[in-house]
Amino acid sequence: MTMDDKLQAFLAKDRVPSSDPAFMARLDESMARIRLWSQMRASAAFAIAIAAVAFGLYRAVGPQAFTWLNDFTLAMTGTPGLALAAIIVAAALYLPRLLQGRLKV
Amino acid sequence: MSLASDAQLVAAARRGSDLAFEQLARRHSPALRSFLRGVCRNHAWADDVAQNTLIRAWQRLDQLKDPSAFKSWLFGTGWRLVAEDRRAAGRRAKREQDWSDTQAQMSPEGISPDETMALEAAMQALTADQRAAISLCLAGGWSHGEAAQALDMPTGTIKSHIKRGRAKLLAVLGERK
Repeated sequence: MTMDDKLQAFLAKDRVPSSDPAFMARLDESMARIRLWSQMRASAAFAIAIAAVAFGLYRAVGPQAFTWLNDFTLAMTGTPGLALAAIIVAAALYLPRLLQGRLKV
Repeated sequence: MSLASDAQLVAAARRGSDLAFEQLARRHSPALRSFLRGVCRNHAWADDVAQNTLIRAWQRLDQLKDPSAFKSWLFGTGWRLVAEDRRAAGRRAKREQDWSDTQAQMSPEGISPDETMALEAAMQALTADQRAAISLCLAGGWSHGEAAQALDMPTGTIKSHIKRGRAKLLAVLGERK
């Protein structure tokens, strides 16, 4: 074995196998965690903004203006078919966003 | 298995496809990890840096100017992260001790444990720039131009690092002949 061969064998010691599921799983986990935190931060900011606007409206126009919300809630709970339809519509609107990163390549 | 080019996968990943980025990571992470192991001389540390490199690349994919140069951009990011990580000296010292403790048990075929230890010591005595150039060109088969682009060094400097580093490593073997 020449000195060059020995050097090459020594350097080859650092070579990584072409497939390492454990390494990739760790990477996927890190990416998922970062994405979740980012979505939570965005959702929290959105929820705070909505709450602030709702609170502002409530203070500005008074509780009478929100009686429609009460009526809507009563209608929903009294009509299961309507509630089911609302859930289906909400899912249809939200699913493409949820699956966006999974379907495109 | 998809045969999409790096540029196509980068474009898909920029549009939000995690699968596209996963393919890029699968394609380049073995070579990236090998390079970082060569530079860091510590497999655990190198794999941590490789993870951070891929995460940073994923988060900053929009900053990549030429999508077809993803590979050299990724390796350059890893190289810079190693430099940043070097500041955490205490943690690194502990890892290097653990690593050197296991060296004698990991001799490649055809090399004695003494030679392996001497080569490892010589490799650690090289500058980080020399190790990076040797890991990319001698171990990874990169051209001098590709290594220069990834490490952000002139091609002449890369050649000089390889020549001097290789001579030091071979000298160790020559002394023991």
